[in-house]
Amino acid sequence: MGREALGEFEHQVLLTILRLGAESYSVPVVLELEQRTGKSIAPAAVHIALTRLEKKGLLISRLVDPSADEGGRVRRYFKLEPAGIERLKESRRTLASLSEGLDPILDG
Amino acid sequence: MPPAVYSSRPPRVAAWLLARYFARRDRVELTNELAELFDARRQACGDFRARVWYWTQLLSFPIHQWRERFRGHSGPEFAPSGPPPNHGRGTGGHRSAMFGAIIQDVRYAGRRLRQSPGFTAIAITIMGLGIGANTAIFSIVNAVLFKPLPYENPSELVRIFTTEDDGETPMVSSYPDFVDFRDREDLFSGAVAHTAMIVSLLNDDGAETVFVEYVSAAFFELLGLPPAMGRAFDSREDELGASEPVAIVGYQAWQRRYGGDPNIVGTTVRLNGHPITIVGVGPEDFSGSMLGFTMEFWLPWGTATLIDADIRRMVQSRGSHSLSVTARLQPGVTVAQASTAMELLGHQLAEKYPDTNTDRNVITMAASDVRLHPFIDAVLYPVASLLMAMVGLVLLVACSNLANLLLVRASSRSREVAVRLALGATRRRLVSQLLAESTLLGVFGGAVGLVLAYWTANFITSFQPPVGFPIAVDLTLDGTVLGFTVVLSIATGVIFGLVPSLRASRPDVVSTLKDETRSLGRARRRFGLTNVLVVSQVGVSLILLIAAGLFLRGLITAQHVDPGFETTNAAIATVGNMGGLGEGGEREFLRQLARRLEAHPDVRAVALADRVPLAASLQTRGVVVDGYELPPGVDALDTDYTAVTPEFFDVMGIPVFRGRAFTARDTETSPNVAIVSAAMARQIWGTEEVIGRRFRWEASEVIVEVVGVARDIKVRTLGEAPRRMVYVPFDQAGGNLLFVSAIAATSGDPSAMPEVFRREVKALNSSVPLFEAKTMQQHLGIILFAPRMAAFLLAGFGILALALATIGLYGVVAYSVAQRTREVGIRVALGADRGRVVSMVIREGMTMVGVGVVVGLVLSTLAMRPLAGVLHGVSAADPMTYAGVAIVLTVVALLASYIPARRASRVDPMVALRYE
Repeated sequence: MGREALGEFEHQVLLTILRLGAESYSVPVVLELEQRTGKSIAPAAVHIALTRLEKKGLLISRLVDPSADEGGRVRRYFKLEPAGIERLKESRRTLASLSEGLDPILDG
Repeated sequence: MPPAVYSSRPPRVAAWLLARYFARRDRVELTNELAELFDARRQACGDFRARVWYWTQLLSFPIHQWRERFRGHSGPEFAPSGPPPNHGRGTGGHRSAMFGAIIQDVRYAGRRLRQSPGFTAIAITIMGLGIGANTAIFSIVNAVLFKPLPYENPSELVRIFTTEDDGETPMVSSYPDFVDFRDREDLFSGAVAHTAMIVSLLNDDGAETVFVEYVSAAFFELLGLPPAMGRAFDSREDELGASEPVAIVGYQAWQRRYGGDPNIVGTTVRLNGHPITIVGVGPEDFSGSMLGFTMEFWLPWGTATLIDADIRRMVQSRGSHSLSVTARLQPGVTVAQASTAMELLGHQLAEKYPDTNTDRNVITMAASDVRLHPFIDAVLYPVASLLMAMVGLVLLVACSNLANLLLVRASSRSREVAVRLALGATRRRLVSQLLAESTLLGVFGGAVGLVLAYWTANFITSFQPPVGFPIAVDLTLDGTVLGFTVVLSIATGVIFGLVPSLRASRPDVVSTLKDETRSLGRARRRFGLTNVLVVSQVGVSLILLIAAGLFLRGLITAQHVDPGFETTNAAIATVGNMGGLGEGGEREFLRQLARRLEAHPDVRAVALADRVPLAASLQTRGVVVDGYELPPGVDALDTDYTAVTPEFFDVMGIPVFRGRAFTARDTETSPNVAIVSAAMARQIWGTEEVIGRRFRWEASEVIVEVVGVARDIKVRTLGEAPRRMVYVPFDQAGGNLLFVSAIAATSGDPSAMPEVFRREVKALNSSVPLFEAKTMQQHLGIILFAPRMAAFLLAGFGILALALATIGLYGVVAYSVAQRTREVGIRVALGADRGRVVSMVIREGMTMVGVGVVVGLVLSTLAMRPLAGVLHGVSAADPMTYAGVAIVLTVVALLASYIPARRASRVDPMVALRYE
């Protein structure tokens, strides 16, 4: 199966989960993304991206039992699969190589 | 029980709809996450924006999912009829397919509407006006009747009322009775007594009256309302006259008076002359337990009894009824159980305290069933229903207009529809697309309406009854109003789009594609429905205009009614709570005020009165006359009464035509005397001599001698028949002087008097608050307020309906002219003169109008019947109004059909014939 390129938003979501620690559910992702990007983020977009990334095998999720959780709320926690981390590394390498020597323009 | 924190939940309607949308597997998780995000948004940018955001999620999820599904495809114009490829999670596929199709229809409809901006603008305006008027009225009704108060677990709260001595009319309770209620710990986990009062607040520029609520210390805790800052009251602060005086300042007052000072707690205010320490700031979303009033301070009973002598007396008297009681049920106790137990308690109290409690019942009701007070609610609900019915008629006109526009549009699109049917589109698909269009119009109309409603509702409520204090209803948009508008928009779009879309999609492919001239029969039928719609619009507008006309006539009549007293050269000043002066001090202050005012060059004379006629604040007292036969079961004649100084009759221009007026010799120590109204004299003593007769006040031993008979005046309403009225000398009336009015007779224009009042009261004693100062004309505005508002609102509805109906009529006639261009061309070519053409077209329009007017007139005679009770000076079947309105409507309609008729007459036969 040919690998699809990682979309910009998917990329952002993966990085955010990584940034939030090992595991996170969608609410902190939305809030963190909003804070970092300064834009309003649709929960629906995050929800769909998470689902898609899980299907691609870059994320794995588990449903947390409400009784075990102190807030008593059902939540789906996501964490990066090794493949996800590999993909992030790879795209970073690609970006780095592509932007090599362009600093004077891109930093300006 | 954990500490109560009131937290706002996401809009219920939106949450419910979203939950229906989410696949079962994700439902709980997504709903929770949205609720969490809602909370975060609320904290970041406030309740309103969070709510709006939440509602947008209703669109956001379907749109994102739809986009996801078609990622990589360029969406075809029409969804394939089979299920679309399922990229989803494998569940809810069919549902998503449906949503995909719906979204496609909506996008297509949006494109179609953009292609005809003129039609779209008109349709949205029409729906916006109709929905806007409804939302405006509904948001007021919602604020007054439905918007939940921010109490914690409101279903556990009950209101307890002591009845009048008829055993059934729920009224207010006395403090000792309240204590007995509260002691029923088997029923209630707590009970609080509260009552609104005005006190004087002394600040840098003199004194003013402010609304406060005297409450039990447990008030905030019981209702689950934590203060925004500082602390709630302590139970020791309930102890009468004991504790240090404390107050909680209302949130709005804190913002407005003290600029939201963060160091407000611990500062001192002077209420009724007493220094009082502020210990907290009230909750932000709570303005007091009395809807419509914004309390500036809450004071516990301990403080209330300290600063208010009347309250000191009141809390000790079982016969003094002035408190509202709210209680929280013990877990497991139902309202019905509490109600039965409390009724029993009522009987026990009546046995124990026969003097005060005989025949008084105790009624317990769920707090959610009480809005202001059962007594007032009983009036509010019918008024609200009537308003909603009236404004619903406006919507009916708007909707039938939309239906008409859609019908016209449908027939102009018949070719397009036929082509698509021929190419294999299913009828269901076409109908759903056309419906999407009308629904979209409804929704856009709803959005416009929401904006209009916001303005209108604020505009309407900016009309304050001239009562001296502000009445505020909370018009912030809530889920109920938003839900109302959304449902209204979608429902009107679907219902009124259904018939036009069914009609438009009728498979009549062959004849349409051959472009055969539309058969006469079909044209007639289509016009049948269109005509019915126009007729109904005319009829409904006529009904609304007649209602408006009747109220307007009633208002004009009312404005010319002679109330029986001076209405031009007089002005009134009412001083509020003088509690700080003490009983003797109050009277002395009033006497001095009268003297100072009399010294003013424009003032001819000054009188004092504890009540002013037509002020909606008159009091009644039972009169017992020996030898006068009362109906069985009645102990005394309920009679209006007011205490006045000797100058009153001169100042008010009320002649005392038998006996004498009061004099300075009628004092506290002299024999009790009274002046009665002519109507009272006639009713009780007939033609016999009245002077020297005696009567007794009910539940009192005081014998009063009648010394004069005064001309009848209007006491409560302008429409009333002459009433029983007793005037007593000011110095012989004991009791509280919460409000006293100084009435000044002026030698000329009194418009400068309010300022004079203000100056003189302040100069005499700056700690006495002037409650209001107004000319007599302004005073009469109180009594005219309700009829003015009714006339104003109905005129608004009527004019709106007329405008809509006129647009509808114009549209139909213009369309018919356009359809008949060829026919008109032939007529002109054959020699018909243009006048004939004009009259032919006008006749067609006016036939519809004529039928509508007749139908409207007939329905009006039925619909106006219930109004007979509230109209006065004009009959509900007033022929002048009916005829006038019918003529106005006909003239407007004539204009609406004349414009297209003229256009028809200008048809160039060559052009018209070449067209085919």
